[in-house]
Amino acid sequence: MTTSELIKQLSISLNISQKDAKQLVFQELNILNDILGQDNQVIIKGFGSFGLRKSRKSSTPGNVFFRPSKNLKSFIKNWRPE
Amino acid sequence: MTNKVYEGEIRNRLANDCKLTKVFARQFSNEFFNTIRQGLLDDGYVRLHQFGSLRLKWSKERKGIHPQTGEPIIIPAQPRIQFTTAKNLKDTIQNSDYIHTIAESCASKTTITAFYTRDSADELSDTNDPAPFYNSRNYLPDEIIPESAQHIKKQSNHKILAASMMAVVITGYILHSLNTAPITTDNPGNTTIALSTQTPTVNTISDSDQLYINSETVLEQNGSTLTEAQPATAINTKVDHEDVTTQTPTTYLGQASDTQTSVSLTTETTYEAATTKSSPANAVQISNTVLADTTASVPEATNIDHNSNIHSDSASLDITAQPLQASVIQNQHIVNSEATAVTTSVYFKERPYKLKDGNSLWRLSQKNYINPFYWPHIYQANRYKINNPDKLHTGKIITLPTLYGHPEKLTDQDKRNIAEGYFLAYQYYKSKNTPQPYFALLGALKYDPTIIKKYIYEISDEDWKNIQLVSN
Repeated sequence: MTTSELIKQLSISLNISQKDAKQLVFQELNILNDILGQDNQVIIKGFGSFGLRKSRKSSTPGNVFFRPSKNLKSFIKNWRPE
Repeated sequence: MTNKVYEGEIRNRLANDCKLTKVFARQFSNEFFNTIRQGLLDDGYVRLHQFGSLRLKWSKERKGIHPQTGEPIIIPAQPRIQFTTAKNLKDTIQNSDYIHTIAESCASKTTITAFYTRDSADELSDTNDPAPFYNSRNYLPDEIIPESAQHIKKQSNHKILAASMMAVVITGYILHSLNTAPITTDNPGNTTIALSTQTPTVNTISDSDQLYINSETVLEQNGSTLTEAQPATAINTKVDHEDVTTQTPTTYLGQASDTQTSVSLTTETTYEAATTKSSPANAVQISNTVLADTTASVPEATNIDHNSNIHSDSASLDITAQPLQASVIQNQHIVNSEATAVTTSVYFKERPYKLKDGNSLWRLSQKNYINPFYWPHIYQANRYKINNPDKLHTGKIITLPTLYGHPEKLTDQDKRNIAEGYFLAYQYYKSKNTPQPYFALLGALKYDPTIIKKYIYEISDEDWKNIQLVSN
């Protein structure tokens, strides 16, 4: 799923125009970016958490990690690669 | 130091930035993550623009050691989620000075449709403003748009271009004309008004700027006719052939003449300014040129909210200028002191209504708006209270929205709302696979065809063909 597909899905499910859905999606991602950029951890209930794993070297930027929640893990547990 | 930010804070920020209701922000946020989750399961990956991508990977069975007991165990094969950070996010983390590069802030750019925002429909009535550069149907290639809609797109492009130019030119002209010396006349009742502005955009257009629109001002000087291009088309252009005799040096559009000049303006610029201070009329017309029968004096005070409604053949736009400070220099007169107040008569004023047994949108519309075909107006206003337009829940309180014009003479705002409602109904019927959902689109076409332009990419090809067949 790409961002454009996500936008289409959201516009259908929320019954809003794609233009508005796009703006909202971008704003949501913008906020997530902003929060992670400020060295904060984002916790989303039922989905997981995004955080920043800092490097030991001060010159190297940290990596963003994603830790899925139990809910998400159980949701995907039956997934099998094609 | 790492702080934990929870979903609620994100929702609040989203609601604040985009002026959404908290309910809708919650709904959006939930749907956003649910869709990602479902997309992850369906496709195995979700790519989020300039944020990163989530990908499902299959980890094989492997040996491990139990962390507590230290015994060797076999970790079963299972899917795991891998997150890859986008370059933009990496840069964000690397740079302390974070620059928003994904999209500009919603607050400055977005005009979210009224039905799920805090703002009332009145405040956001100018929904036909040019869309942002992205996803704007007006800037998409022609081949994407069905042929029958091409003319809409072209008209729309012209309108937007003209509207943009008009906005710049007229704003500049207003400021320019307010700052130039006024025309001083001998005729009794003639007006000399100068307005000084505190608007920070005073320097938008200077005297040397040459911004011309097709309008012309005809100056008659000593019998000979001079034709000059006028920097702006008149606002609410009003033809007035009354001669004005100027005595003192007249500054007109930055050009001064020392001689007495007989000026006959074929077009007259009329501004409507609503004063915040109490006056006999809420609105006074301030004109550069002169109208007779004006005796009342302008109150000294100031703070005139200058609202200009600009209309032209090709475009219609509203400009709300910054508050101006008016100072009257000499011979202060109000033009048309008995100007009628700018009060919009409303046929039906908005009011809440508790649904009863047997109510339907059709009947409510018939009862309140006379015409039952205006039911989408109610549906549009209560989009998040009414899911299915054909089923209303008894006891629920809905809003019967304002109808500005008489049912037989609807205003553009009313038509737009009704068309929007029809389109929402189309979307609903389509999502529920109701047969022939395109009939709702016919209503939208009838009341405001521009709605088709606005949502053209949400109409399926099949429905589009059917509309054409039926409408033909």
